[in-house]
Amino acid sequence: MNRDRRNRRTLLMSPAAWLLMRPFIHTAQAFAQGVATPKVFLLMSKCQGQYPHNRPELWLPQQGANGLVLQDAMSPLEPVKDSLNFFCGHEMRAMRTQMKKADGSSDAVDWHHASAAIFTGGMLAYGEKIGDDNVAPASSESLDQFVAKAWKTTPLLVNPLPRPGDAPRKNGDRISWRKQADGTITFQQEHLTALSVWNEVFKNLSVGGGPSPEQVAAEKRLAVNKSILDQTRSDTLALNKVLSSEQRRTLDAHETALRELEMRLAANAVAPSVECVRPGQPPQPPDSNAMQVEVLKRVTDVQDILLAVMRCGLRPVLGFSLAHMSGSELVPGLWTNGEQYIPTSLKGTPSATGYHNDLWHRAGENPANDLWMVRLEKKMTEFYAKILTGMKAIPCGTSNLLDQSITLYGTIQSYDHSNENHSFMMAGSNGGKIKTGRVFKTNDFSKRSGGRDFPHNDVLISTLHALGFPEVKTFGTPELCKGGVPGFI
Amino acid sequence: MRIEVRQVVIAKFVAAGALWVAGCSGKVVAMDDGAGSGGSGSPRTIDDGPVAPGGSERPGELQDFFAPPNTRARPLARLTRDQLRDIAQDLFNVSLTSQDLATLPKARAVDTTVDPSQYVEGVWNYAGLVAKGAFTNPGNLAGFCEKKGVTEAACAEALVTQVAPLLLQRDPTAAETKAYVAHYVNAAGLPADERLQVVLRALLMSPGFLFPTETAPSAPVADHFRLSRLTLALWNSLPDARSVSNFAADAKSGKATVIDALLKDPRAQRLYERIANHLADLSSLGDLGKAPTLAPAFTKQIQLALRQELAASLAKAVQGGDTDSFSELLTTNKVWVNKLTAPLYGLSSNSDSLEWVATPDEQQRSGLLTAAPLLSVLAGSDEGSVVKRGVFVLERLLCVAPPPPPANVPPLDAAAVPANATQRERLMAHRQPSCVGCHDAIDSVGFGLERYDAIGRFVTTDHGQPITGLGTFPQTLDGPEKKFEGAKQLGKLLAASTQARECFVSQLHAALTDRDSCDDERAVLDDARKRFTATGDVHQLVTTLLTNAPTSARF
Repeated sequence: MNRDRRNRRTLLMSPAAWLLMRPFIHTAQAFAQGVATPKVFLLMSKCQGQYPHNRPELWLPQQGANGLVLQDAMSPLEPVKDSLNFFCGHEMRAMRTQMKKADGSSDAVDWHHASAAIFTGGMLAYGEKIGDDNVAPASSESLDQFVAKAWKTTPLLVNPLPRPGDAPRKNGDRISWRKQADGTITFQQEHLTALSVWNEVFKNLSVGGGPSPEQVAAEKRLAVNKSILDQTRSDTLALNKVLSSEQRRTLDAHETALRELEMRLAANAVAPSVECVRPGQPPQPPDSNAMQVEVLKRVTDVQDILLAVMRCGLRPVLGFSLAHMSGSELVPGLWTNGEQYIPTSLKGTPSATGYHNDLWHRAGENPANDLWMVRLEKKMTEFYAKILTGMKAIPCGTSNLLDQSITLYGTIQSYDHSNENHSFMMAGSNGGKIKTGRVFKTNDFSKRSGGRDFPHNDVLISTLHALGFPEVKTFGTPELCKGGVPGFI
Repeated sequence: MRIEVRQVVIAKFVAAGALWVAGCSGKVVAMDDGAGSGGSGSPRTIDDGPVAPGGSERPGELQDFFAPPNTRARPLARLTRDQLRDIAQDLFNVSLTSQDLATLPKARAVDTTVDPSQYVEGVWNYAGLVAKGAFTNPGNLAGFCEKKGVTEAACAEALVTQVAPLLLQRDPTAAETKAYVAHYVNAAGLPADERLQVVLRALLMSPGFLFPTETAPSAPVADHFRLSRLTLALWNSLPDARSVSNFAADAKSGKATVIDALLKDPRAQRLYERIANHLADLSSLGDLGKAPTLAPAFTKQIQLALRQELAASLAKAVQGGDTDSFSELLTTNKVWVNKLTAPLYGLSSNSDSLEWVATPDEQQRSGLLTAAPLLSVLAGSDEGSVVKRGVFVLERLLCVAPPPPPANVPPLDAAAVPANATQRERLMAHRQPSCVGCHDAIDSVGFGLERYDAIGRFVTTDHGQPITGLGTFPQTLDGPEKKFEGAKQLGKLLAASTQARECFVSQLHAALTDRDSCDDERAVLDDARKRFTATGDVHQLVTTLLTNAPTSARF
């Protein structure tokens, strides 16, 4: 064993070998660990609903001879289809529509709880039972919080949707998947809009671009740490000269370990971006009900600022939410001003409870509803497709940022407010470590409750595996975990 | 027949013990990691004063004072996790938790199985935490430049000049100083405090600090370096600047004065706790579960209070005052108690701190043999354990380790003895043929401690039947086995035993050095055993071991 260490050290000590290896340190480290650390981890979600579970032919991708075959609802993803994996038919068991309080009474789940469950995988408030299972309350940590902590960075979570005109709901209006320690959901208000992101991330960048102060400091620390370890190694070799051969073996191993630490620090450092250009300051968004007409512009601004953040390598953990608490609206721009999406047969015929209930509570009653949903889904897909194609356009090493990253997209509830038949979309391959173009279909979608054996926590676990956390066996409530989606890694 | 078997087993024990006490090839019996204390010494800071110039020779007997032995033949030792923790506390007033130190391996200084990558990762994290804490905690390095009254450019050099001697145990060379200052320069652009942290982190990563070898770059060995050998043994830590100054003054009065001063320092409490932990693993105190009938008299607070008792007894013995302090250690009827622990001894006290008090019945207590912390650890939940106590006496006090129990030991058959059988009766009834050889020896000596319950209280009955404490002291270097009655007589036999005294020398040496003895120490240890057997003077023993070059050198 000692012989092996000395040989490796001798090789690594060669200046030429060191220079040759330097560009591949990250890759070498990745292979050593099994799965690399991606450049970016991006979580995306929207509010209630997605793809009609009883009409999979309208949206469910198929695995064809030349890769995925996308249906109309998914067609905006065509430019990035080779980077996609789909997980279908999972049950979000951590979400329930009714929860028992400690005193035995019940309370309806509201969107706060549901939205927290999506990326925390945690049992909701009150620690109630699910079926016959005794399920303990989950940790409040969400997937992006977990990763950000491991990567020692601050996650950035944006939601561009406006404040509705009706009275503010408890815990804020926009929905986050972040369940706080006290059980409430609070949004990081300063990150809501493109302008707030710009103020935090880009405002202090020098005009004309260049690295951010955070990036400069990170690079400086890396250089200083390397300098410390260089001196330590040099001192170690000097001390070695006055020791016996037996003692030298101990210090040889110490010196090798120092070099390995140096490599680890370099591999984990933020890579400088060569294309970082500070974007222009986004406009101050209106803060009234009237601005709903601008919602699509707000979404576009946020997409652009997120891509700028990624291009500059400023925040490796990002979140993009299009979830909203407004009672009767999904995404205001698509509803109040989204008449073009409503099938002709349904126009002008909303029920007494409005479009919301026609669409969400009458799933499968009318094919026109499904068509309506597909149109809306296609529009929503465009939002995420723009970010994914934008990532693909950012060069990164010999490939692009999307290839080097992992993104996960999900919704806080399934079609018709159910917690069954949830679907998730993953994009990116973490530098080719994750095979893409696959559909993990866990049930036939014609039955309800098919997902009970496929808790969505396994999707979260598999996402962490893809991100380079192979040791993770549970996430959220342990009882809801089976160790990951079978066959994914 | 039984007697013959027992004598054979004991003879094997004795042979093994003799091998072990004779040299470095034997493995120390069930030694602990030497887990130190939580740092009971008063915080010292880096600003305590200037460091005495090193490299000067002392006159007279100090010419060979701690002269370095041929340590090149020894395995290279690294600072342990406990030492790093205590150094952070003593030199930088930075208290580190177990969580902070979680990445550092918990191992002896010369453990060759330590993963170097884990150690480097651990010390890198450690150095970062200490560097940050040192400049954050008030009263230490916070505002260092302002306190020093130096410009920013000169600040880093002032820091190196002040701190490097403490960590390297010598003055840094000009080239070294320049290299450390360069880190400060390289860190331009980072906040000022962070730039100084970089310098301190580099110092804490130095191999001269982490591997405090005897091969100091300049000869003769400097005062500071000599002192650090002692403080690593006695304080688990490195000397601060004030200690170095005091050392120079004390050294003029002779080496015994130096050691006396170090032993009286609050930081020496770590040594006493380390010795106590070498003798018995007391780490479970605080979490020992006892039967409901005993639990109220043995609360968590009482258990935690008991932790200090053995260390206090050892401190008294080590610091001197009694010629034959070893005998007192094993036979005295005085105990260290406070208001929480006094009732366990049939005493009452209003004191929050430990008091040295005589127990009412002189025959009930016999030094550390009957210390409640020891007896409660060597016990089950509802009664004392004759077996555990017997193993303790053989293994820790006589250095004859019984072999481990065989696999598949059948459970005791409760129906084979009456419900009110004493522990002695139950043990005798369940003696299996394959167990009798060892258990005859173990139980015979353990019976001497049967009159103490699961929390160390003196009792006279077991399940309503009278118990006597009749036992048999094994055949040892001192001669054939001897009958005795109760802990007091057992204590006297141990106190007078040559084998017990020689064993104590080995245990103390292991506690001081945190390693096995080495070949170049054989003569010194032989001499120490001879003298200690004659005198039983623990203080003299410590002084002898520490002032003799081979044994004073930890590494």
